[in-house]
Amino acid sequence: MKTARAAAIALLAVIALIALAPEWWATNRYETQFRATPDAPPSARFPLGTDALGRDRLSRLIYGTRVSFLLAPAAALLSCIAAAALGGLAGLAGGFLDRTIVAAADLFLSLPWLFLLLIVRACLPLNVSPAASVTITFLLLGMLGWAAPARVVRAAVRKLKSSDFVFMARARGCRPWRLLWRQLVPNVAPILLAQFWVSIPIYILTETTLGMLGLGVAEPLPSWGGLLRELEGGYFIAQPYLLAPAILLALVVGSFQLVLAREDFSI
Amino acid sequence: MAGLVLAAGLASAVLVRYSPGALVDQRELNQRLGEDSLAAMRAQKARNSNVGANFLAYLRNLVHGDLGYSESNNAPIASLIADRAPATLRELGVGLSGGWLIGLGLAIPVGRFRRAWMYDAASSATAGLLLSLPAALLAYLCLMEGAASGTVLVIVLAPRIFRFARNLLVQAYGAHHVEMARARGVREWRILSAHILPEAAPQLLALFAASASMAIGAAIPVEAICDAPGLGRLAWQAATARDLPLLVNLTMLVTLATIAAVILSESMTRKDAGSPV
Amino acid sequence: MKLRFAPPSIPMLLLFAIASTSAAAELHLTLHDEPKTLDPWLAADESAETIQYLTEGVLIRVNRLTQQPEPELAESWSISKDATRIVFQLRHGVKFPDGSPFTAEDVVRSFERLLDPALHSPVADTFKTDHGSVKLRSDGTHTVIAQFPTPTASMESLFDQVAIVSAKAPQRPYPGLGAFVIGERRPGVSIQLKRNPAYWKRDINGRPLPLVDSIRFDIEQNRDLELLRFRRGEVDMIDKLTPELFDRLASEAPGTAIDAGPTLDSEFLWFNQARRAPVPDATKEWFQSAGFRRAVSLAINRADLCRIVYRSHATPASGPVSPANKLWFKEGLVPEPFDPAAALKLLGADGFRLEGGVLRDQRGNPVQFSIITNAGSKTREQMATMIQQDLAKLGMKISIVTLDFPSLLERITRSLNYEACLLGLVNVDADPSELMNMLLSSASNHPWNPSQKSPETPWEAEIDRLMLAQAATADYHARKKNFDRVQEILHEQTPVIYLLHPNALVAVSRRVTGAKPTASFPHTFWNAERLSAGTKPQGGP
Repeated sequence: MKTARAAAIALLAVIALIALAPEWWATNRYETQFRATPDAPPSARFPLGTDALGRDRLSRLIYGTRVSFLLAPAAALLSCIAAAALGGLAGLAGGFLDRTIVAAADLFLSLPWLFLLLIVRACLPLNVSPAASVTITFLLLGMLGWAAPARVVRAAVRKLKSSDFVFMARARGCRPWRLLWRQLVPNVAPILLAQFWVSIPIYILTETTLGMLGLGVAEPLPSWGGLLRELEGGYFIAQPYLLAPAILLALVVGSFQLVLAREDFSI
Repeated sequence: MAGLVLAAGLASAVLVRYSPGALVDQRELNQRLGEDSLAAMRAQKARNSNVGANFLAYLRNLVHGDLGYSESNNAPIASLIADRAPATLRELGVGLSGGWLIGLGLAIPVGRFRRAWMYDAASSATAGLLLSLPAALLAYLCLMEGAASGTVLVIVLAPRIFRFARNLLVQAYGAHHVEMARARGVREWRILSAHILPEAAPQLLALFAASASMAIGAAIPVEAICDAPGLGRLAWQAATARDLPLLVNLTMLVTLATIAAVILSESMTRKDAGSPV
Repeated sequence: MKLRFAPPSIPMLLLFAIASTSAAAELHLTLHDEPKTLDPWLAADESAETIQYLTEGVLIRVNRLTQQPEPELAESWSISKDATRIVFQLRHGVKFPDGSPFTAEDVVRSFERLLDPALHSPVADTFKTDHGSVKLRSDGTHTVIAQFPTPTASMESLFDQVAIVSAKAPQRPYPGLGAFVIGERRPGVSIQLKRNPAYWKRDINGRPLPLVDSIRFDIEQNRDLELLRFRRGEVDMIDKLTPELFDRLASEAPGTAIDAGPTLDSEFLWFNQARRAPVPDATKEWFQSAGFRRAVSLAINRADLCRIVYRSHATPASGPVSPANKLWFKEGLVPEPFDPAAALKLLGADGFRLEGGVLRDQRGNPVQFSIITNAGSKTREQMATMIQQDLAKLGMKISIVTLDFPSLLERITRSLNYEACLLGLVNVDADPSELMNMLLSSASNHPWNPSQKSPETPWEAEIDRLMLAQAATADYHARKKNFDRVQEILHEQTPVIYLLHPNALVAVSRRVTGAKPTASFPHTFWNAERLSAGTKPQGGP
């Protein structure tokens, strides 16, 4: 198990390196169209072949890693910050504020978030670059994703609030801010950290779902979701190299799962 | 709870009404339409633009069992939902029962036979692989093989249930009283039914509620991709067609189901399972 | 001793044989959307028009293969020399499904109700002019006289669109005179059309038509799924295949994928030239320059678009009229060649200059704009991506924005908050009057500058004059002359950059007999009443 975890960490590190500097690894630009060779099979020049517009699939996969791999942690961070703030507030304050925040969380869980993303995309200024557009999409996902982790934080804070050591600290005259900073935050931090790591693969998967539904990154910027759309025709049996993004996705998300604590009870 | 459902309905009504394209009709691009007809079409759309008034009218009609009319489907909403709900319920039923049978069924041996590390590794790796693939991709792959949309939900839920149940059952099987029972010659099925499952029941029930919520969430992209004639596909069509009355009804239905699942989960355990987006 | 298992008797075998053949007599087709209405007079979307085509009777039907008008409910007709009047002799012995006879009163009443201004029927709009609309009266039980206020071109094709409804029909839709009637319907899922038991037509052997018992349309938005179901034998015909899916099917099941040739449709790109558009003034200035527009047109490689995106199932376009439209295409008009050097020269003449790989206008502003198109259309997304690359060679920075259709429509018809748009036009009718609502400057659907109170440019004023002139006469040569000039002006001024005319790519299962795919809508089932469906081939189309 330790070996597997070490291998997972190594793989994630390599992929992070690729994501940070794709131009070092890719032999072609992701948008270059080799129009003489559209839909070409794998070759020495194009190891994963070319797509319908003659673009090097491997280069697009490498550049696509940047979008999916770097923006997902940003979205996860945003959702955790929002979850910490709102969940913590609900757990600490109790009463009306607690009920309001919980109701808001339930509302967020129920709203058609796909539709919300559709609208936000439609409202964005037209001259926003593809990179900015996808960043905004991920940030929006992060803002929408606070509800479930907020409930976890709220439950943890409520439990801590009634614990003996907090009671003792209060009895000894500890001020609220000091109580929060010295007692509650250190105890809630591991939960938030676990939520952060759990959320990253979820956001990567969400982006791929969006890409497959046509709500993904604008052309010509590639992303794993956009690349997975090539599977729509169902011809990956005859052209197994089309599965490369799916395999990479599985490896990355699987690696994240291996890195997580064994006793993680989130699903 | 009722207030939250209504709030969700109103929120989705506002979202739809103020979304780009809410007041346009795709038929406007028909080249045969004269200016008068175009103007009439636009005026008709604009007449239905007052969110507050329309929502109040909707609530009044709701009391009489009238859920309104879906323009995009050219049919009363009540009959649409009644027609599509069985498919979604069937799908959810297949997904949940299959997911639990497989997930729990695979997890029990892991808990019981802790030395069977190869089995544990193989099942964990398979679960890990399936967890790494988005529901939309799984839907496509199943579609190509001719599998029903319920199968996709099984594949989405089973690995999650397995992962959670595996950890839980390993702990449960490791308890002292279970080892004592085994040492006293109690049969395995009795250990499972009398010691393991009752002990794990609250958390398993909480997981069930969370898995129901997750299945509902996964149903929309799965049905949209598989073109299954259920409520998920209806919701996606309603969103892309800006069918306000239909989307409001479906949002309220989903809210009701989500809240019910959350309440069930909370009543079973003090610790939330934390369902993903 | 009695035998326990008697062999099947001959009557049973016969019954079995009859059951086998009759059980398979349903055609399975698909629609991409739920019909917005089943009222034949309000049909304005493709799905609704499909249902209307199959279930309603018309006086004259334009044969989609030959493009010639043929008698339907009207056995014969005569047009006056001044092209203002047409007299129909109606077919005798035709009955509605409720048993009532079809007479002249049904035709007259249909038109009265159709032309009611309160109805706002798109079908009725084609009969309306500034001088009024057509008036019909009966002359006996089987003669109808239609009087137009002005000479009307292509009169016969107008009647191809008008469903004749029973004068006694209490509501619409109502079982009509078409080959089929609406049967079971599951909104958003499927709609079944059953054979009309009272249908009047017979084939040459005297067999009552239609040959199939029913047609079931499944609502299928996913094109890949549609093809998958065709490959499995669950769908019998696909009316429109994307080029990619067409080629795949052609390689897997040769003979079932049919290229029916160039359609009348076109794909094009236009710039937002509306003065009131919320677009920066500098950008508007570029778009309002004919030199700029022509330069963009010269920089786009249409041959590559046809070869790569449409896999050679398209023809480069020179204007709105497809070369397949032999009657109205202006001879000698050729698509703009791919010539980036000439494009740069034109831009230079307009004051643009290339600096460090970036094209700048006279004021030094970098030339960058967005192209919007509808999400979900792979061909348009691919075309936009290729155009982006082509224009990058001129130093232009293009961003592509795919929007869901309602959002896109809102921008191009209401807010005008867009810069350039890539879309297509489906032309059902070859006649130039079909383009009236696009080419008239006052029209709401005039893409580059809609709803002008008066033409803002001399060339738009000229197009208005020529289009109205061609619609006011029935003389083909006079009309052709005017419309030729319209095509020339569009070519010179390039308000719309016409890219290509796609071919009609269809799929027909081997179990279907009688299909003759054509480039006009509906491509595969235009002769649905004469199609028959045999037993399904094992596991395939």
